[in-house]
Amino acid sequence: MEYIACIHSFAFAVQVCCAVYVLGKKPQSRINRSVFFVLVCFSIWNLQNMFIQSPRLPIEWARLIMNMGSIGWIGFYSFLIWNMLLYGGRKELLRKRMFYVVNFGVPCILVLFQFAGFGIKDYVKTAYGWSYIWPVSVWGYLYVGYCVAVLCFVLVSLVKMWRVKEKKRQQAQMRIFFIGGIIPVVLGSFTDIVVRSMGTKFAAIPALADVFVLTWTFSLVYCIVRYKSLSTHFTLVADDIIANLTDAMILLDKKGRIVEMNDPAENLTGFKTREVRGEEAGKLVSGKSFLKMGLDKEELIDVFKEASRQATPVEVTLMSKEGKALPILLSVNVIKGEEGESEGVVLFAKEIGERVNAERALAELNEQLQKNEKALMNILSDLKRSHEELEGSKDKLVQSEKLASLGSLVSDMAHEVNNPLMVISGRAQLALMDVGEDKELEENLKAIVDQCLRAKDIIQRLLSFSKPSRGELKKDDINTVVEFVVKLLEHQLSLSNINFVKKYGANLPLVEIDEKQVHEVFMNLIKNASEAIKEGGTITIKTEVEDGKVGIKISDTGEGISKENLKKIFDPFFTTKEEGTGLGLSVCYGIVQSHGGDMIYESTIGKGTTAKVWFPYSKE
Amino acid sequence: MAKILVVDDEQGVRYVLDKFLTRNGFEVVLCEDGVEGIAEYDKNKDIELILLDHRMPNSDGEEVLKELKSRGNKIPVILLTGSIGKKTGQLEVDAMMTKPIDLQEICAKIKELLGE
Repeated sequence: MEYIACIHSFAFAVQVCCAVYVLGKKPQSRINRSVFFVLVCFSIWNLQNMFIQSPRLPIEWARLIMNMGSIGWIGFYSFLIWNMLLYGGRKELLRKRMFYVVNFGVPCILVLFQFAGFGIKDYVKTAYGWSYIWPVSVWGYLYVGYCVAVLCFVLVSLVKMWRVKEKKRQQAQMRIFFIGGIIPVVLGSFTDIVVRSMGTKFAAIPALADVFVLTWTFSLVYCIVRYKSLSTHFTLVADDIIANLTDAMILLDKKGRIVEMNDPAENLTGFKTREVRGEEAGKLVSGKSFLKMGLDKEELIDVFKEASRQATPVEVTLMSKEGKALPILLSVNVIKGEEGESEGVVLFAKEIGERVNAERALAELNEQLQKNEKALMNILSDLKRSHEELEGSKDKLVQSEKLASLGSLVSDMAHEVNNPLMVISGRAQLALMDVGEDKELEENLKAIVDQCLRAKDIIQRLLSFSKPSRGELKKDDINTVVEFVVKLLEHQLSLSNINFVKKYGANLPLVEIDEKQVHEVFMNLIKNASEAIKEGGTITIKTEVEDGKVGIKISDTGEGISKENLKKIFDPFFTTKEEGTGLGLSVCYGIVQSHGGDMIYESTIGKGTTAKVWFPYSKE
Repeated sequence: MAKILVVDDEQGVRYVLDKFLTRNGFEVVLCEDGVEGIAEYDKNKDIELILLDHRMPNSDGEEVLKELKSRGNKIPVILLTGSIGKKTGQLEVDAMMTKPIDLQEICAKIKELLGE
């Protein structure tokens, strides 16, 4: 059964190599050193079993080798505790001297007792060499208790650190340690302690715990190879930072292969880290493009180098797991090693979509703001226009109300005055019937009658502007109506060097008017225009369709009317003439209004005046 | 001698019309408002023409016309008014004359309506 010793020899060789590798990887790291010592203890343990489980070894040598070997299988626990505390960052405990006294003191005592013969001392020869009998003694119970306590502490620590989800790297390592460690704990305990305590008849089963701890050794080495370091203190800090990043972070090794991704990166890409770990970032992954840059590996590295040098983000398209093309901004940071060589690349990815969306939203907002501003300006402009129209309407309303109240007053006055006039006139007429030969008396009486009739005429005119009563309406061409009046006055005015310029619109719609009254209006307006021209000038008459009505404009080149007088121009009894009743334009205004039309005056001092009249179209 | 009913609230107007019409051979009945006018109309069945003022207190010319219509009046009515407008134009009278009236003119109109 030499092969049992060979198994232990193989395990010894592996442990030694692993110990050297772990220490060589990072000799300054206390964690690596602690693991180194654990592996050295395992090596001593393997060395012990290499010789003990060899059939030709004398019993005395077996005892000696066992004692020597106890340094390994007792000592490794203290280094294991030390390792766990270093890994867990339990600085406060590690600073305490008492910890080291207890942690290394207890196994020292156990080893001393082993050397003193209070430990394993009974052996039985088997086909594969010496098999020890587990001592049922204080030392035996102490040792088992110590083992159980340490292993429980280690396993609980591993589980605790494994459950810290934010620290993914640590989580992954703990998972590996736990799986790697549970095998030797279970199987090793069984073969080395449980079987030994069941009596000599089970001694034929070799103790193989030292071989089983190879799984733990392999898990340690695997972690180093995968994560480059067992040291976690700094990486725990880095893990904290990475875990709290809001930007997506992707870690590539120096060959451009994906090492790690944080949660935002997983959310962005739709891939889990484990699905893409080890895959080249620039190439296809399972038929889907991960970082579709259209670049080969060399170009990719060049892009990374350039971006890193310029410290400016690169725009690339990232293809998510669902096949969605996501434009992203990639910030590239090269990780340099101790001697300045590139160790890897850290990529920070930000979805451009967010920025584009934000910029688009801002642009849309700006556009909307401009539209709103324009609309507001239009509203303001409309408001201003409406205000002006309102002011105009208000003026017209005031004018109309003024005329209406005056009209009512005139009507009442007319009726009151007519009776006394009737009496005066009637008495005079009665007196005329008996005047006889007195010519003077007759003339006086006739004068009284005449003046009463004159007064009656004035009153009738007053009444006609207050209540303009229309006569028969008929459809007329306004050009014909105007031309009739112009013909009446043309010759007379030409004697005063006043000429007419006629600009009659063609095909004007017919208007429904009392021709006689409208003649009176134009007569009045043209007379006023002629009186404003002092030493020759022009009266321009223009007819046209304007704002859905037939418009007539009578312009003169006279002296013009002041703004102050323009406001009162339609007021009854307002006149600037020495001999004027001031009723002419009031009557005209009343006539035009009674036809549903409108009338205004516009003037510039020194340039002339324009009277504008509008009549609505005939309804048919 | 035709009898003419004169209804006018103005005493001066009544005097003038009374004197003039009497000198022209008419018999005149004078009333100073519409109420009195209707009362006289009802009392004097031989009235042949009415001279009616438009604006009077206590029942004006329009109300008198309504009363006359309700009585089935067939006697000619001449309305004496301050002005002839849309409103007066709609009244059912035989003639309208505006004050101050030419007395000769009114005499001619009366004779025309009486068929003289």
